[in-house]
Amino acid sequence: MIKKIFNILFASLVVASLFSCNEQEDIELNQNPDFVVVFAELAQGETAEVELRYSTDFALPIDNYEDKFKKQISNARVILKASNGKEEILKESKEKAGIYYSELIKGEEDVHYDLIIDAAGKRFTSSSYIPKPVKLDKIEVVEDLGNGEYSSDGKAEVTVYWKDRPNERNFYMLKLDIDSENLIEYGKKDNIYLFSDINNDGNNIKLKLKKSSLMKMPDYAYTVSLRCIDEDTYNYISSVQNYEDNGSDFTFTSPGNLPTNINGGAVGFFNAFAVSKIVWKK
Amino acid sequence: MRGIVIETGFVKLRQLCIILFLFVLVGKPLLGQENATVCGFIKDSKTGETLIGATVYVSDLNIGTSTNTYGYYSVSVPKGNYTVKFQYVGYDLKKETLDLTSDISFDVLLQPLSIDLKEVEIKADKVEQQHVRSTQTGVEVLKPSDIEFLPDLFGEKDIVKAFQLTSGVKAGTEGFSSLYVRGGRPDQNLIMLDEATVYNISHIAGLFSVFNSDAIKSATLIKGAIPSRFGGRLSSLLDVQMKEGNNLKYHGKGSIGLISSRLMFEGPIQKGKSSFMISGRRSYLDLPLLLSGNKNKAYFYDYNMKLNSWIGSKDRIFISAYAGRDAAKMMRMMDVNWGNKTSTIRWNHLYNSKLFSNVSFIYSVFDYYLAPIDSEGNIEKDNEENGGIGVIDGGIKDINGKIDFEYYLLPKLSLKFGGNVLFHGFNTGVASKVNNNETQETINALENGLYLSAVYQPINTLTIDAGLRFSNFSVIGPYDELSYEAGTESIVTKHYSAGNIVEQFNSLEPRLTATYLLDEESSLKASFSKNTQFLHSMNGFKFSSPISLWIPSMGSILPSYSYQYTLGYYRNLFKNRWQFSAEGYYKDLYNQKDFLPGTDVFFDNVMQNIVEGNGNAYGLELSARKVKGRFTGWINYTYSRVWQKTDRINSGEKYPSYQDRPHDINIVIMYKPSKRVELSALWTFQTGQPYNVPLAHYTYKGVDVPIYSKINSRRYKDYHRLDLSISIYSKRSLRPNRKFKRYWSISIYNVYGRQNPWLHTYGNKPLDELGRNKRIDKATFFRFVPMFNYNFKF
Repeated sequence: MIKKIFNILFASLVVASLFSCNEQEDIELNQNPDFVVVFAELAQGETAEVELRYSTDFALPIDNYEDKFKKQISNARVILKASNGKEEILKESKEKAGIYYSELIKGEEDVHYDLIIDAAGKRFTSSSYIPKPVKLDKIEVVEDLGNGEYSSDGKAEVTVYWKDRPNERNFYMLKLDIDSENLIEYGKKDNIYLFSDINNDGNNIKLKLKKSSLMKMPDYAYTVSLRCIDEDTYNYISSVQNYEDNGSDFTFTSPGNLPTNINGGAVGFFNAFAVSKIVWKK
Repeated sequence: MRGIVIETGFVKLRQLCIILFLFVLVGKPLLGQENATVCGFIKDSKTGETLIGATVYVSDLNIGTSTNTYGYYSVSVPKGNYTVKFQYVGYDLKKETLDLTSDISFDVLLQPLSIDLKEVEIKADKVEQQHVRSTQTGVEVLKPSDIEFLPDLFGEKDIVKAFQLTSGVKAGTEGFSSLYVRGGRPDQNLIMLDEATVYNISHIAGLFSVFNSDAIKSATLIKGAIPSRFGGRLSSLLDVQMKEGNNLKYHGKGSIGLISSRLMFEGPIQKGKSSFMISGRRSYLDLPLLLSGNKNKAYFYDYNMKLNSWIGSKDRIFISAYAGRDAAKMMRMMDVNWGNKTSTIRWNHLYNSKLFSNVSFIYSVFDYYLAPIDSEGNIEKDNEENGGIGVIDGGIKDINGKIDFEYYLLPKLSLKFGGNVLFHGFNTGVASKVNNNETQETINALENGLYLSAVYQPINTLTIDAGLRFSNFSVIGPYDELSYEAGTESIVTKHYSAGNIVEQFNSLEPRLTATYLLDEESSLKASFSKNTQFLHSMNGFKFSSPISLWIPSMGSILPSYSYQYTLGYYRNLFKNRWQFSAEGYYKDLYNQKDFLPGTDVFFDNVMQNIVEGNGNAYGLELSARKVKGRFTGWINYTYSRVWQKTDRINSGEKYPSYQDRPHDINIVIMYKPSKRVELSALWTFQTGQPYNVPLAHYTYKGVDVPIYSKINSRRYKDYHRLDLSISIYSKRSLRPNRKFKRYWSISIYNVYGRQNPWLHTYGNKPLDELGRNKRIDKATFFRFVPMFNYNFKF
């Protein structure tokens, strides 16, 4: 009797398992018009660079960190205005379509900048501000590069020191470059570190930046850049870092568009920033 | 101290104080009258178990009350002789003429209704009118006997799944045990088993709930104004009481199901004085794996135990415990397990006929563990260093002491008051990644409450239940205040020693319900309540997951709070055989949690990515329930919406929440054509769950960034299914005096094989002629699942 019951139960379980299924649905192309993507940067003491392109339909692939379907936007009108009265129409690069740069305007501290873009039949506007720079005090590096010359199990710990400017909200982006090469892509968590002074207003800051998978190479140099950025840029980069680990599968990713300071329906951001650098060599 | 919650309640508090003052003023003259009190316990005559919510009604005076959680009642009346009715759904009415010229103690044994169908028809006229008269809004009460013959999934009669079929409650994902009550999320329900909080009610990631129906006496779900003695959650209270155990004779019950079996045994320790109940349940999905030598495993088990004993005539002790665990080990993937343990010691004491108290000591713990493992089952340490997940090990522990008093002061005025001190120990050990911040692992907090409530009947047709709760929540040391910054090591900015208060919140929460009888068979009810929630489960509100990270309100994570307004019309029809209700509600919701775009809700350090916004929820619930006769069952329809507005999501515009599913219909029919056969059918319908599909994407420095339209602007296709069930008793089981009874249950889940969506994922496919490589994969569970169960009682 018991055997009979178990036979029925397990047979039923097998039957039940057969009835689960999967349906598949193609995501149609051209469901929506292309979105304009804007990336604009203006560093203190340097000229501005603006990249304009269209987004890629979600059904089309972005593989190996490269957008094969990237469509640059040429012949746009890009104007940069500074609060100190300077104004310039940016030129499009002859070598790289969709890249616009300034020749006259260079980033200056304590100056507001307005960006006006006429592209794809629409006007997009944005503004950003270069705050007074906060200087890095020093950096310290502790290396453990392993024994093998070509092994990649080397590790390093870079300690960064600076003093936060009191009585104001400051947002920082630290960039760590090793041997002046972008060994690890810009934008990756391994290379970019964000910090805000929400709990550290006016404090002396000490941060440890850790690196792994380093190869033992002669004459290593470590360059740490401390950028003072605005809150919009801080929010944008921190959101990008959330997406970084998720690949292209957004099933368990909390949905929503990244914050942007571009008005008019485009995505991306305009970031003007002050920067302080220290290079460490053995 | 953070005053954000307390300030918003002040206006309501002042109004409440005026009302309470008026009660006392009006009630004062009554104190001068000479009253007598009848009190006692109402019990099942066959098991000796006390009955919760049984009514006592003195019809000559139009005064009534109902038994409390421990089956105790007390009614004060002007001295005299009265006919008193004792009633409970499913039991014979008992009328007694009592000489109440002095206080008396009077215990009552109620006889369960005979299964003889003719008798059922006759007794149907006498179903009491608690539905119309009770002073609570949005209440659903279910006993295991109510769901014994319902169709089920894999043979488990699940009380949580039965609540999903009631109005205003939604199930979430196919087959799962989550409860979404009136626009709330699963973590906004206070779920208690014998007063101990159960933090995760899921077995097998939600296919079953942790509540073994054989071990349960009754379960009450309150969606409206939660009584002031309960606090700490926004949406609902699910109060589950374990069986005390038959204190007259030994009795057992069991079932052999498709993937699990269960057994319960109960009986007297000292007849009429003390009893025990013990039950256990285990799944055997892992049995074929074990027999074939496979190292993978997947199982769950749970045990319930309860002892109770009278000590003299005024004291009673209860000891109850629960332990349950799920475990799954998939070689080369992960080792995951989670579970709850609860234990409760309660002491009832009768000071006199009017004053009842209960003191409880409660321990509850929920913990989970997840680790990547290799082919031998060892933890893969390299996984974390390669950017994958590390070991996740977290949970929450509660130690709670509480005292509750019930004072039956006057014929038409009774008071409840008390308080509790609750210690929470949070273990927030979430997934760590290389170069990511480590979250502080242990956080301690105290959640304390004081409450006072009064039930007052100023006129025969009006009953008012007014209460006030004061809640205090403190995060206490030892604690290191860290700066949580993406991509950097955390920094200790301030250290708090053991016992020092890190952060504190207070909240005053008025609760008010008024019931106005239009006539003997219909009433209007209205309620208002404020609820505050200091604990939040951050993983569980979008997907059913055993990894439920519970965190306290602190720092930028503020307490959530809500105001709920309810208005309802209740009517009994056809000689009380049908109960009809129409209830509308509106809620204002504050500090509702959501995640920043891009957060991986399972593995990212979610505390850094929480954002808060406000919202509202509203709905109309229509319900008709047939409670007696050959046919029983219910039909309900709910229209409901829930919205949220969060600055950094959806460009700051309001969006429907993930639990927003406007239309919901449930039809449950149970039919008993003969003594041997029970037939049942249920059909359920819900608007599809909202979801998002990116419209486009772009790369930013190597990162694939999606572009969405409006949040939750798309929906899964509507969910609906029909389940059927037949239960057949063996002929021998119906013989008089036959002790061993058995019956077979055969159920079909999803009879017409509807492919209800379970989860949409974004899959990659080979490039097609249009250059596409992405598609939506729509997973469906449980199409047309037949099930068999062998059940027995002795």
